[in-house]
Parts: sequence; C-alpha cells; structure tokens
Amino acid sequence: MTPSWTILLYHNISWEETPGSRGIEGATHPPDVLREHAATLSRVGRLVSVEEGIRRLRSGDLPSPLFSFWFDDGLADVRRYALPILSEHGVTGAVSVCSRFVDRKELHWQFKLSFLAHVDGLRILRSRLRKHGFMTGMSLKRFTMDHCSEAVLEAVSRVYEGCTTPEERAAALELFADRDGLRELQKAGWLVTNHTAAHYPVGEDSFIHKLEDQFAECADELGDLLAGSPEYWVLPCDRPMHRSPTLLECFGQTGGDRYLILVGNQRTEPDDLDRRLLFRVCAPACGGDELLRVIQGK
Amino acid sequence: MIPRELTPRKITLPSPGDHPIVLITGGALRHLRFAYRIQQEFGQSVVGWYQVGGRRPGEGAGTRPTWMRRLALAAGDPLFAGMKWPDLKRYLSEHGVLTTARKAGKILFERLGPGAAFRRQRRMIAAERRIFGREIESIERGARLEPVVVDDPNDPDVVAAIRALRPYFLLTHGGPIYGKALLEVARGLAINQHSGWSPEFKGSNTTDWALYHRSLDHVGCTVHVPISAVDAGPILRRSRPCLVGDENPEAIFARVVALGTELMIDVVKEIIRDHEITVYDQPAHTGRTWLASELTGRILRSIERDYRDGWLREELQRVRSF
Repeated sequence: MTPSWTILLYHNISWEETPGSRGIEGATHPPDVLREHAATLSRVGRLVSVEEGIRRLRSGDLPSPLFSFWFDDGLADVRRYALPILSEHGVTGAVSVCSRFVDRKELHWQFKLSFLAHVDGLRILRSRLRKHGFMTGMSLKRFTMDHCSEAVLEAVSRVYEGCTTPEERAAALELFADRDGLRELQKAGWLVTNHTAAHYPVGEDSFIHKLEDQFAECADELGDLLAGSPEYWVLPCDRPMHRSPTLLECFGQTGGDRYLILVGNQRTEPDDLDRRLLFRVCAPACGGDELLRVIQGK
Repeated sequence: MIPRELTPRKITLPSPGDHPIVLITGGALRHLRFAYRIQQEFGQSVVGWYQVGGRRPGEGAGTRPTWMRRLALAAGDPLFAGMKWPDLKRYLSEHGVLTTARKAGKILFERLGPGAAFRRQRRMIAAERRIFGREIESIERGARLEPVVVDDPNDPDVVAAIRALRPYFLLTHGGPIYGKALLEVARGLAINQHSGWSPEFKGSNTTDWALYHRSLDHVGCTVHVPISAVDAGPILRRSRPCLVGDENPEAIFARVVALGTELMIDVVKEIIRDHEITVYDQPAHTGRTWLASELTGRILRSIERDYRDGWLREELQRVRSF
C-alpha cells in the first residue's frame, strides 16, 4: 500500500443489535470485526491517533500507511469493546458525541425510526407524514433525510413517544455514553469531539442555518470533555451529494482553530488539512483482506 | 432489550458482603470464552469452574459425537416417517422396485447420512476460532482458574464440592440439564445462558430452528433463571446479536453465544450493585422446546441451502429498508 493516512469510521462496536440501531445500515460492527481490522491494518501499516495522523500528514512524515479509528455518535459500547481492543494495539481512537444524547435529553432521531420499525410504528408515522409530502411507496428513511425539518422531526418524536413505554425510552437513551463514560475515554487518551447537540443534518440546506448553533450548544454543554484546540466539528448525517453548497463558507465564517470532519469515503490529503477538512472512510463489516481492498480502492 | 410481550416483576436477593461465582460450562471454544470473560470481569469473585465432559479445556465436549446423533435418529425416527404400508404399496406399484429402492436409499442418506452434521461440526469449530480466537488469546492470560472436568455435574459429590464453595451465583452455559439439588447451591441466584429466543424457541439447536423457520426476529439469546423445565425460567435479559451479512449459520450461532455472555455479565453486575432485578416470567404453553434428535440432516441441509442462496444477507437488507 502507498503511504497515506486513512481514517476509518465506525459507529457502535457491540455483540448486540438493539432495536434502535437494527434498522440502520452499518450502525454496529461486532467486536471481532474491529479486532480483525486492527490486526490486519497493523500488519500493513501503522495505527495512529488522529492527532498524530494530522501531524505526520502535515509534515509529510509517512514512512508507511497510517490508519486511525473514529467512532461517531458516542455509543456506550465503544468504551466497553473498542477501547480495550485499540489499547492492545497501543493506539487511541476518536469519538464524536452529541450533547443531548450524553445528557439523556433526546434520542437520536434515526434511532427512533429504527425503534418504530421494531414496534410496527412506521404505519402511524407514514400517515402522520402525508401532510409533509410523504406518499405510499416512498422510503421512509430517505424521505425523512430528504425532507428533514423541525416539523418532520417533531412528527417522528410524537409517534415514537406514542409507541414506546417510559422504560423503553429510558433504556434506549442508555445506549449512549454518559459523562462518566466519556471521561474514561478521555482519561485513556481518546479524542472526544463535537458532533452537534442532536444529530440534525446541519450540513444540508434544510438545517444549514443551525450549523453554528448546534455545534455551539454541544460545546457549551460538554465543556472540557471535548477536545480544546484545535476543535473537531464532526458533521452529522453527512451525505456528500446532499451537502449544502454554502457548507464550507458557513464553516469558514465560524472562525476559530477547528477542523470540519466529513465522511466522503476518501482519504485525507495534505491539501485537505490546509482547508481544515478531514475525510473518513466508512469501515465495511468484513474481514481484514476485504477491508484492505476497500481502502486501496479509495 | 425489554421483552415487550412479557410482564415484568422485581425480585430481591440477599445482600451479603461477597458474591462468589461458580461457573459450569461445556468444553467448546465458546464455553472457554464465557469462562474467561466472566473471570476478566469479576476477577477473584470467580471461585470455581466446572467443565462438563472432555479431558482438557476446550476439547470440544458438550457437542454430541456424530455417531451418537445418528444412533438417536435411527432409534427414535422411523425411516419413512408418516408413511403407511398402503402408501408404500402404491409407490411401489407406480414406480417399481428399482425407483422405490433408490428413493429409500436417498431418504436413508437424508436421515442418517453423516454429511450435514459433519460439515456443520467442522464449520462450527472454524467459526468459533475465527470469531473468538484472537479475543481468547488476549483474555486467557488474565484468567486465574482452570476448569475441573466432570462427567456429570449433578453427581452428589460434585454438588457437594460446589456447595462447599458457597457460591452466590451459579452461572451455567452448555452442558446437560441441571438438577434441582445443583441449582439450589446458589445462595443468590443460578443463571443460565440459553442461545435461543425464549419462550418461542427453547431447548436444543434453537438458532438453527429459528434459521430453519427463516425468522431472524427469533435469532437471539436469553439469560434466565433455570427451573426444572428447559429454558423456561424467568427471563433476565434477551436480545439479538449483531450479524454480518455473508456469514454462515455457525458464525451466527457463535455471535448469539457471545452476546449471551455479555448479557450474563450485565445481569451479574446489576445484581451485585442493586441486589434486585427485573424478571419477566415466561408464559406456559408458549413456543416450543426442541429436542436435539429433531435436528436431522434434512433440516441442516435446508438451512445450508438458505445460506448458499444468500437468504441472511437479503433478510438483513429487508429489515433495514423502510
């Protein structure tokens, strides 16, 4: 493999697929898959923290391919499973968190959709969304992303509350790391980063006006749990084809010493660092050899 | 995951100063992982580990030998199940002796043939090595205990030896049906890991049966309080495993088992912390208890066919597309 820096993106690492994540493609990787990925990548290159990756890419010091691990959404099982696996390889990861999930104020809206699929609540949601333009035969997932608005999210929340018990809602919130869990990751040297307050698609036209507010709310709420300088703003629901044309301009206007973290399914190049951008590659749930083929194809 | 269809109730347990744990397991790699993970989490609280069958740890005990399975099938399952003499006469008159003999041979092979069971055993070992191998290398270094190998955990001498350890928890995974005398040695709670979705799928090979019925919703694991009826005691935890699209049924089973062990750890931690826990009583007469002898070569081949046809991958996609 040619010397380069690849950041692999995961969400949850767990043996369990909960109703909240079951309906989301790629939401969970089993621990053995992460273990195999780490072992394979450490054979062909070097596992590094995100900070070291930035430092080496900036200085051109890439003696071998470098790989870093990033876990979005701040799920609790990352500490339970990913932390010890990466520790065995002497490397730390990065985790991006949403403040309202950490503080148990709100559940990830896509998890609500997944839970509704589990309890046959989607039929109710479909009828509620008709007034917002939903039609029979449409994909509910795609519709809620393409037409995401406060009214649509409100409809999702109402149906979710109607279809679940308080105990189920409390259990669903427990899927996300709390402050103690994040402190433990931070203590182990992990990078805890800003993923907005509530995971709305702030990189798309529908919510771009909330970009700064959502990141600011997360920074205010979580304070010193988050990486200080530089800051890392991890864009939620990042769909490269649907990014707002004004995204980079809006990000630039926020000023400050920070990086914008995108999915993009590509490697981060030195030019990207100059633009304060980091790109990540979605880790496929497959064996090590297949993973290498995916990375080499980027 | 909260079992929606079952009614919860709280049970309160004694709160002593210590919580000694005794493990009873089979001897396959998945059982070793169970024992090492429990030791990793609870350290010196684990005071005993009994392995049922085998001579050495991880020798593959706990899975019946293929010849024994075939013998059970031969004894318990007539060659032409459900076929009466008039049916056979009609078949003979319509198809002749040669075709009937060929058909009989085919059925005989289907029912008694070693192929599917042998292939399954081989794949099971490979799946467990692939999924658990690296993790076990890592966690066995920290394990303090090696198993005491016993033939029958219900033997009065074994029960007395376990009782002498004064366990608060008796954690079981694999092995035979545990008798009342053994289960009562736990001062706190006996807990069993069942690699199936209770109450619908109880007994043996329940992951296989869920796959045979193409019911991904019933591929899961149940941690429960053991009672005299198999896998029918009050449920403590039940959930579904994270599955990877192209894996075979044996890998799915290994993932179910891994999840069950983690659920068991959660339960034990909760009881040590709170000394009370929510249980969900299983309704009587719901679901089915499967016997080991019911899993014939024909059933296994049917599951294999679904796997080859990519059923799991398509089903996972279907679950996620809405």
